[in-house]
Amino acid sequence: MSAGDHRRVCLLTGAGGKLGTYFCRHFADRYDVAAVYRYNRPAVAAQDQYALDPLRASEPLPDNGHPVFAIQADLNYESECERIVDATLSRFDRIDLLVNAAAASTWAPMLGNNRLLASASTQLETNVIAPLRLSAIAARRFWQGRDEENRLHNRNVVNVSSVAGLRLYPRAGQSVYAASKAALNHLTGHMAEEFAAVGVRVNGTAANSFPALVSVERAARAITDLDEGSLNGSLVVVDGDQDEVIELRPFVAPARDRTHA
Amino acid sequence: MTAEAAGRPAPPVPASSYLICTTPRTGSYVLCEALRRTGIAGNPNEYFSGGYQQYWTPRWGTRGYPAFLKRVTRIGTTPNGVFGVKVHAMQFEHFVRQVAGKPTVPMAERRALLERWFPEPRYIWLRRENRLRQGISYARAVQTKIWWDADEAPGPYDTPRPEALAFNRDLIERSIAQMRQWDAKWGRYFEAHRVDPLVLSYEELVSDTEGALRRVIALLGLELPSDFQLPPSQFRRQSDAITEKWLARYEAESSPNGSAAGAGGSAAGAGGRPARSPRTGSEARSAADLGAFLASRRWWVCTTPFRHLRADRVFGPELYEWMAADFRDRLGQGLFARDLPGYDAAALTVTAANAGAFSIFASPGWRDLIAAILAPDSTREVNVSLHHHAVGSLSGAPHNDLNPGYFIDDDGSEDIIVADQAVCSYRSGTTPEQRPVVERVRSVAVIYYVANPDGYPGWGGATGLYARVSDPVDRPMAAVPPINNSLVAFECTPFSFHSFMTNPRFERNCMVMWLHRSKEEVVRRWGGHSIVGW
Repeated sequence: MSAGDHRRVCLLTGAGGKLGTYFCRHFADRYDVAAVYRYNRPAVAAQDQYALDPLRASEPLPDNGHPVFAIQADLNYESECERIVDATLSRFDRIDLLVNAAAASTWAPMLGNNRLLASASTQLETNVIAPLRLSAIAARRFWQGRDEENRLHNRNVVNVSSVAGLRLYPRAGQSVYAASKAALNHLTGHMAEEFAAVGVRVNGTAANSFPALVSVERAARAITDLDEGSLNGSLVVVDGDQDEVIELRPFVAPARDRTHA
Repeated sequence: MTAEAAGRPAPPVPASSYLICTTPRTGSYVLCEALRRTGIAGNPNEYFSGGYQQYWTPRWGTRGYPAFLKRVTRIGTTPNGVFGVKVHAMQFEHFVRQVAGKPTVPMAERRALLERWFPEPRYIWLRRENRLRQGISYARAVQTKIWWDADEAPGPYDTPRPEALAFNRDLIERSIAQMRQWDAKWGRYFEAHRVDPLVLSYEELVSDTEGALRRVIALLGLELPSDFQLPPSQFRRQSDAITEKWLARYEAESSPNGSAAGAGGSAAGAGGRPARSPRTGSEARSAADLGAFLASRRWWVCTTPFRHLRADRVFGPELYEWMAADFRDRLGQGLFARDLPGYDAAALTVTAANAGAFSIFASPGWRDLIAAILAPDSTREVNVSLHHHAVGSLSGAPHNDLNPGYFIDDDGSEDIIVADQAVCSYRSGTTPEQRPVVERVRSVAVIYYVANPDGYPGWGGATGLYARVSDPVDRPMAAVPPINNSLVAFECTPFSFHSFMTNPRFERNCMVMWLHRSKEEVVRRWGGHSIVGW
């Protein structure tokens, strides 16, 4: 079977956000999407959701043409992540693309109130641990032992990061959020190195504020470009006039140094 | 002669700065005056306006914008190094264009240009909740060139033209639209640059100036002396009998049939009402009549955790803005009451007599529309109310709304019957005139978000939807955030568990309405025990 013979299966977290909703709305005709959300449902057709015209409620609408498979779950629980992967595999039999787009974001100063501290664990859990957990479970449940098949189908993970993980924006109160995204970038590099063993590529995207400074379309397109391409261990920075690619893998220490780490 | 040459200390260089980001007619001069009087919070003024630059450049003898800005930083900075500026959105664009030396400056570059001159800026977003009053005030000032009433002019000014004052509805509406655009510019700047501004309102400022001042001082990390007392402002309130007259005339011209809306419904139309007929939707006899008012024709039916309906951009901007202004007016007039036991909100019942901008919800067309999708067996009786959750209101607990409601039994009428406490107690069925009543049970709940702060979805105040009554309120299966002009609606069944979720940062406002069905039908479906009494 060639890679082009079937619709690709995408497991997408953060489906209720701007990026996730855009992805579901515009790419559900290309992908079978398992759309994971926590509270905010994406306004797209799903197995348990459909659009109607309030004045012509019985008439069919084109919006309902490519329903996603919506999964309500809390990524901060391992059992929930296992349920997500199992549900996706039960529904579609495979996972070709895993997009870790769920994010927790609380911007507050370190001094002055307790909002930042109260949110710190959740931000780190959602932005760093959850992508690790979900990717590892997907590998354990499906990708391991299928090295050749994974390569043939160009299977891959895209971790959605932020320019905040690369740059320090003063007085934005982004300390923990930025730290979590920086950690996610580093995790992506390590994941790329380790998942190569099972034939799964791992990359990241880091977009500036969307839709204010870059379009949501562009941020989403970066994900599909990575899915269609061959990059591994890279971070695509979506900012300015054109995307920039940062290699994460060269940061891997040379073999001779590792015994001293 | 320089300050040093004259033996005076050198002018301070700003170590930190702040911007009062605002629109005209928000009381910004009052806030600037209060900040100046502390002696530690800079000397804020409209330094970035073209008019200010034009007036002072020849008087200071400065050449070029950098020289002008150097002078401004000296004037605007207090000895502790704090610089303040009051700035409108268009003035800010003028500033960044001058600093960048090019006619257009991308949003992404603006913050860096600001920080080149003013380090560590902090932002106060000063807004006015009542757009209609702001529009009237602006229209008056534009006509008369009288921008303030004070003993000492805070800045350069044009020759006053008090004789030019004349009611001009078109000018008021354009003024309102302009204010909205300028505020939106600030919103985009904050979003683009990840700024979390301190939000103050004109209404808050005029009712408690010292309280507002102290919030700004805290933002700046400063401390006022323990014995600090704010002297009375030199600015006198400009709103007067003419303002009230214009307000009444604007409302009267906005209401159906050219007369003012009913008793409680001061129908303040921020953007005016829809020009099409039926103008408010109240005359919509059928769902088809609502076509002129609906913005989005894509609503979503979702079955998780129970069947419910969601819609964004429900109504067109004119009707929405009118509702938002009407809501604010009623809230400002103190018409809401905290009379709902176990529910941490203030509420106001909307009746047929005071429906104002909300009359569309009491129309047969709206009832038919919602009933057709969620509960076709709904009867003619509806209950409509406005709810206000102050910041920090307590979360509720999951409940299903399968409650009874009593109405006057008016068999002869085919009209919609709107609950009215003055005629019949909704909860007990008592009537002052001993009229016959009928007991119904709620069939559909509709929550329509209106008059909430813009641009901050996800910061609390959502409606949580739950699979079980025992679910923790902060762990819903779905949550519908309070995004203006959106709604969530569902059939009231024994399983329609939902709750208000706390709003730690912003107030939360909505219209809530219920459709009803016969008690017999509810008993037939789910048994009499399912009805949750009051």
